[in-house]
Amino acid sequence: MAKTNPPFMTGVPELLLLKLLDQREMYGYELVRAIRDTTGNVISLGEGVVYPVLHALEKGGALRARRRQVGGRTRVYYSVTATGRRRLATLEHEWRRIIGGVESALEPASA
Amino acid sequence: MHKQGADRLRRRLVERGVAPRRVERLLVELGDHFDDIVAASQDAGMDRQQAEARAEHELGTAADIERAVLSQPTLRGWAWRWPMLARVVYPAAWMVALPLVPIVAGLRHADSIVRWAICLAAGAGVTAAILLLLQLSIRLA
Repeated sequence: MAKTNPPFMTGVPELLLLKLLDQREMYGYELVRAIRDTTGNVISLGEGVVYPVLHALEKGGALRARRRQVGGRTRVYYSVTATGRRRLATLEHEWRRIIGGVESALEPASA
Repeated sequence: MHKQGADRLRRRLVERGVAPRRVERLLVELGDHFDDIVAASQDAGMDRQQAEARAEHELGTAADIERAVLSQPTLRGWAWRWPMLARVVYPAAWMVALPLVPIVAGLRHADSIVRWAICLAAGAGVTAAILLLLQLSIRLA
């Protein structure tokens, strides 16, 4: 069975995908490898399940997809749109807010 | 993903309201991803069988992918997302559309209908003439 994310990871795949695609356009396999590399293997998405997230982001206007011929093969490359950049900014802000709150809660209580 | 799994995934997603074109694109991307994992595994020294087994494991089962697709409601048709609305709109739309069907059919086959109407009128005229002659012959007899 492929790896699945624990419940608190909901929304993380979308954030990571948008962040990486904001840097350069990539296709699915490249993206999954990039997530592993940039997170130091801490976050490892189920490889097949990344595509529904990409398709949903594209349907919502956050991503643009185009077919490119690379090395004799046609691949679907994804890139971020202006809507996607706004969505990324919102997700980043929310994530930092949540992380800040959790870290405060995890700090040892002062004596 | 092996062919049987792909066929099963295709059928289940279409049955659950995902557009066939989107399903086909998903399967193509999964197939390419599978090939990429196999190629990378073979480059790392695995044989073909081991590489394909690794790719099957990394990609996930058809059930995992189905679950992931269905967890994205925007990928399903509107009738699946708003079933109560669909149950109201579809019958009402049919009630409007059905009376229009013979009108549209009539307009598309207007020349045939006109010829048919002319033949019917001619037949009625001939029948009336014959009946009139019979009546006159009875009266004059």
